Amino acid sequence: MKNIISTIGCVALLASAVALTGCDSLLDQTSSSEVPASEFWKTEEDATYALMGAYQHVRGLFDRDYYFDGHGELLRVRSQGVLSTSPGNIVRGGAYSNGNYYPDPMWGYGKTFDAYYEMAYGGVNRTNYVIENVQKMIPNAATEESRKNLEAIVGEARLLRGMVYFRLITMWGDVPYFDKVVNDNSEVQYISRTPIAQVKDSILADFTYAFNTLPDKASEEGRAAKPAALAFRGKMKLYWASWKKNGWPELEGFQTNEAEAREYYASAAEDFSHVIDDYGLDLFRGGAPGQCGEPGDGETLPNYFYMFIPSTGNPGGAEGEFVFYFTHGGPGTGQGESLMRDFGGRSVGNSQNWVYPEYVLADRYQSTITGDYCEPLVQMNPNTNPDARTTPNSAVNPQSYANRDYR
Amino acid sequence: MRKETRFYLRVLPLALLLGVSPTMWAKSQQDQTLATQQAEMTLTGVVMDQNNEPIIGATIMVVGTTNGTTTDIDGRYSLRGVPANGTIEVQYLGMKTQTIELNGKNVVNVFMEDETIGIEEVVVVGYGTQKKVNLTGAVSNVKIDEQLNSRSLANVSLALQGKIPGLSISQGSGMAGDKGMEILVRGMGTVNNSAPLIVVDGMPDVSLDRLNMEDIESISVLKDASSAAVYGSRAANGVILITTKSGKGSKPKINASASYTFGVPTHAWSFMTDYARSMTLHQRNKAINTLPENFQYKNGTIDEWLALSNINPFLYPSTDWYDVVLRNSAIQKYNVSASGGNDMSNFYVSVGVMDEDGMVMNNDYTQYNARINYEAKLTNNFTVGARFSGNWSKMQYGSDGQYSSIIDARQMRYAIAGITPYDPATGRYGGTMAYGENLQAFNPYSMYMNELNHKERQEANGSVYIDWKIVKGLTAHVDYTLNYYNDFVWNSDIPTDGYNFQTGLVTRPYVSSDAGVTNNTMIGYKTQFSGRLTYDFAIAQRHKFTVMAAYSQEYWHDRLQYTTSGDKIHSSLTDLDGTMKNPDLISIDGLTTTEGLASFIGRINYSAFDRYLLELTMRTDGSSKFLGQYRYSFFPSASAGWIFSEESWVRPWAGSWLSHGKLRASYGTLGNNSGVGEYEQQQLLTFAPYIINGQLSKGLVYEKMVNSNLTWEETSVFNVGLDLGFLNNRLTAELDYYDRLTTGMNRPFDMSIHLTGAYDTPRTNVGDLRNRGVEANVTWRDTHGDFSYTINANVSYNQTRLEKWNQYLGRNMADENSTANLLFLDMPYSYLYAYQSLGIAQTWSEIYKTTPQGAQPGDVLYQDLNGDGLISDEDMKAYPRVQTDRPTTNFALNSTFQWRGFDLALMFQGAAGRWAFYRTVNNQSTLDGEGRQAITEQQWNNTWSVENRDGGLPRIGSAASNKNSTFYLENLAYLRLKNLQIGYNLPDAWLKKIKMSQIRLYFSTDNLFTITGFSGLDPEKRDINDGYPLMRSFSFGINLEI
Repeated sequence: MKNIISTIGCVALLASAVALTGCDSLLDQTSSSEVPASEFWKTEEDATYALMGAYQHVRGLFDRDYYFDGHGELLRVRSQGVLSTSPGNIVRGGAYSNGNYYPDPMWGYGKTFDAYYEMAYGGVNRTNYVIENVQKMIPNAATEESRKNLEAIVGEARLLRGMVYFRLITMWGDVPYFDKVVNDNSEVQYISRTPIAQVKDSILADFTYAFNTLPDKASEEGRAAKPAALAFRGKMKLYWASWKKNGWPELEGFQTNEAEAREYYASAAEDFSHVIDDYGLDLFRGGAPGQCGEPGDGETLPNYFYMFIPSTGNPGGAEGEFVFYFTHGGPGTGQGESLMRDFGGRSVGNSQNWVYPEYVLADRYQSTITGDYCEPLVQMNPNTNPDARTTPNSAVNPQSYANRDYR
Repeated sequence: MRKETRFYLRVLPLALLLGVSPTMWAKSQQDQTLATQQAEMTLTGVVMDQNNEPIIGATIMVVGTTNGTTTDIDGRYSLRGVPANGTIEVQYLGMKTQTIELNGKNVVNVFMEDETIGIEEVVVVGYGTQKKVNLTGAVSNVKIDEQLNSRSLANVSLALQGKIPGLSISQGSGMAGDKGMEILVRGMGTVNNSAPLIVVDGMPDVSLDRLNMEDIESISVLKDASSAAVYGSRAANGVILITTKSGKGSKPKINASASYTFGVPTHAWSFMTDYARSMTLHQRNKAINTLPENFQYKNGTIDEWLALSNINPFLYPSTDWYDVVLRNSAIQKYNVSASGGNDMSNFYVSVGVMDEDGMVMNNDYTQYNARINYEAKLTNNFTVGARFSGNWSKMQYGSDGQYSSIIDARQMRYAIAGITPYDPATGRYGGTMAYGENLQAFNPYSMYMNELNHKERQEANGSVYIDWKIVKGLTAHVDYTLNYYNDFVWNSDIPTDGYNFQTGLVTRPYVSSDAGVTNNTMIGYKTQFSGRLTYDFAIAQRHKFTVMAAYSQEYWHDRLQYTTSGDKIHSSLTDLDGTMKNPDLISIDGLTTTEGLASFIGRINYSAFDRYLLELTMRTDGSSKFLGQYRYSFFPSASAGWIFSEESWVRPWAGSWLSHGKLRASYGTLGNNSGVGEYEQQQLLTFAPYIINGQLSKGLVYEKMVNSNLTWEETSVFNVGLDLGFLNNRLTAELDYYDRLTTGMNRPFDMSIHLTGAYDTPRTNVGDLRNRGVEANVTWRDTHGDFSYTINANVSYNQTRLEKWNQYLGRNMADENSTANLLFLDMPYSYLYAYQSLGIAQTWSEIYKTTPQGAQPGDVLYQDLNGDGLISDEDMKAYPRVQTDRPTTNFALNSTFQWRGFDLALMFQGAAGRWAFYRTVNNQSTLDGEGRQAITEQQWNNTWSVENRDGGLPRIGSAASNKNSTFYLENLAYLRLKNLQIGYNLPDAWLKKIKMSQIRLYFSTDNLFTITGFSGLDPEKRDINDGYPLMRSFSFGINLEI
């Protein structure tokens, strides 16, 4: 009996020893609800999933650009910044949150776009993460096809990054530029601005890489192909040419350069012509560059406005193709957009009517009777003037809008 | 023997039922028979105490054998087979053990003496026990005695209040099933989790609230680094060690107790039920800036109510909501336990039930506890034991989840008197009725009826252990423990509408018609495997060493699953299957978290000449929460003690009055990793889908940036203490000073805007917090004939100071985790920052004489402290010695008196050093303008007006008076009679006739009165908006022992 017990004792002590050696696995606990990065970056699917994550974020930087039209005279964006957005949530308009979209001096014109700035750099980090990690996979690609596929993924991510930086320089001129994964706050805590010319070159390099690696036609709806890279490269060049020609006095050290402008104009036109001609895209109004007036006059110039305008047609239908677009999901996906909530009136679902046209838009409608432009509408306040709703040509008189051609 | 056998026959079914093997008992009987064979004589005698009362259940053992017995009901014993020249040992709990050489005597009457309490006492410390006299760290001990048990408290934490200096215990709520207990050892040590580690029978992380107090033998609190260092990274906030009862050295017995407690609120808010007057006050409030025709309530509505409320109280109610929703609370407790033991084995089994009806209607709690502790010797040097305890509870409370408390000032303010709670005839719940009322007004009765939450929790905690005395002095101990819990929370709100009985129309839905069912399940277990070796040895007799080495590994596994499905098929159904399962109304969450901790522990105790003491402790912890070089952390400590009263140069002149004197000091480091998430230091990718071809497409992003330099939060504690005993230890005193510095407190930190758009901010070690304090514990004990008494006073003072914070700290900046607490360097955590009030302006001329601040008579005037001609937040004054969240000083006076069968206990408890703004919606003079605010008597009677200049509150509608100023500042110091108890033990003569060992009857009352200047609900509560009253309770109970 005693021996047996002593044996048990020894076994127990031995078990402790075994437990000691087993403590490494005890201390390596892994999550069962989130993917560990150490197990990731093995297959092309992994690279694609990461790219989709970047798409989700970058989509949120471009999907409510209609708010910016509030700075123009035709669209009124109610409220200073809350709108239908959820602050901090990139899918629910977090990038557009807190911005001022009504050019009222009392609201500081277009100030407080810090959320947009923050989220735009969020997009930079998201794309950098994909680019850097997929780049590392390329040398280990098993087949040529796999290598091409991975390069295309990097290309797509670089296209997205280029778009984000393009937006950043558009809004803030010189901006800090970084193209690496940041692992610690100290790497960017005191980062300084990079001159715009340098950022521009990096953007063009991104677009060029994307153009070289992307397929002619997108493999799936919602993703980019060559024409997108080309169109954005053209747009970047056109943008640069315009500032170089006309100057940017607010931007310190920015100098005009006629020769450089001309070079970029030509190069832009070259890129755009390929977009229009080479890929068989059925763009809105054929992506027409627009009018060209007397050479040297400069009053009327091709602006390629139609190439980037959202089509009135349905995707796939006549004039229903885009150079590039982001896709949203329907109810229940958590990936929807807020067009209805923003534009819809109070009587439509949960709509909040944050965005609506200014009455002056109707001044651009011709009369269906005479074919001429009508008398400009007159603004009247129905709260102080009881006749406001009945006075002819009053902006709040429903009759004023009769017989105007809204097409 | 016959008596014993009968007892076993009675106990056996119970033991079988609870799974105790009876074979051990059989074995012990057999051993005794063996011993009989070497019999030389039969020893008899009586064991009595100092008062010549027989002692029942004292153990008599023949030294060096397993032969032994216990005394019977008359204190008699008879032991066969005793060697004539043998030695016997007589033991009884709480008495000095006596060793008697027989020298041939066969009748030995033994007189036992009370153990000199406090000196020979053995205290449970981490991974072992120690004689109190040899302690070098700051360890306090509480024995859970009959009187503490008789307070019929709802949980164990409450019982510790006022018992140990340096242990501050506050009760957040009077809620049945969740008293919101906060336990802090020596102040708030960190801005992260600052709760102490609770260890029950060697297993850490057991909830104190779910233990059955009757099962507890003793509680030790390890307060400094030296005593707690064996718990390393778990112990930065102190350790509470709980030992449960065993049957060791006790004669077989059954204990039973029953108590009934009822309680009334210590204090309650007083709302005005006269609804016409309430509306009048709303008019006065509106009149400040509104034309009469735009008033919320019209004169006609008020007149109508005034005229009809006495005639038709159903349609024109004057509802006293507190009367409707509050009731007297009631607690019933029943416990039965059996225990017993001899030299071979011992057991303790118990079952208990507590049923509590809370003070708020439909707030009920029931808890069942069961425990089996069993230990047996396999051979002389091998002991095995098993412990099992389980509990099961059921809780119910009404709440819509809007506030943490189920009865909150900010919610109750909408409970206007003009709502009829319920109409039994139609089954309708009342809604708003007066013209102009806001439809959002609140019907609490409907919430407490239709929005009930249910919590069910089961716990099963089991452990097995082996003790092996390998050779003399060397023992090994191996144990394995498993704690399991299943927590299930469900609710199924009943769709209800508010109803206007005047118009017969629905006002608004209280619970929408598509209300569904929510099921939240949390299941988890924790295991611990630990083994240790202890070696006791002495060198040259006077140098004694104890060396202990241990290894422990702990593993946590927790899983949760939350499911909600909307739209019930029928309002009476309560399960998920009773819902429509509409995909759009379903939400599901599920998550598993795991954590591992491996620890290597070592301790050396050295004592020389019984007066020089040294203790070295170290622990290395490895946690799965940390990576790389930060995975392991080392926590060392050292302490020394000097029992100067044993010195030969002290004894001659002090020996007559100084019975014990010890100086002790310790320093060491402890850790805390509770602020860090399980997987926070790993690069994990989060789901972020995109849409491809109209379908969700899997996407992943990296959004949790990892701070690879994150390290353990460390707390180093310096402690110096003095233990003194005077006049044969009738007077004892323990004095302590400590300085406790927590460094590297971790918090998510400020990060560049170039990163925050993509990454959640990782934790970084940002701050240092220091707690410094003193503690004193003084006890006087004495006996005069039949009368004995104990008086204990304890007091502790703690000051907390934020010393470092590596992030921006601005004026009036609060801790982001708890926004009521202000942070600033070199100030206490949650310091006081206040405008200086000059009192209420009575006249315009008074206003003209002060700094312009847009005031009018009836407003609070503020002092322009910086003299810049403006009243701004720069005029606020900071108070470096005052805290707003917790008291700095805790004190208590415990006293017990015994005379023959009677006993009396008095306990006063109090706290000071906490000041707070007592300004809630109930006592500020601004009203909610929306027309749905209930008015308190205070707002009606005490607001300033020309006719009522001394009411105490500013004029009605004075928004400028609502600043955090000294005007609303109140001192939350209090002193209360925490407990008063009278007990009576029936005389032994009566008991003998009914064959009982003990019957005690008692009456006990808690919180009988409170002395405080605080005008809020209760100065003990943390949150001034929490409206769940604390209880003034009255208990009656009986304890039986067979």
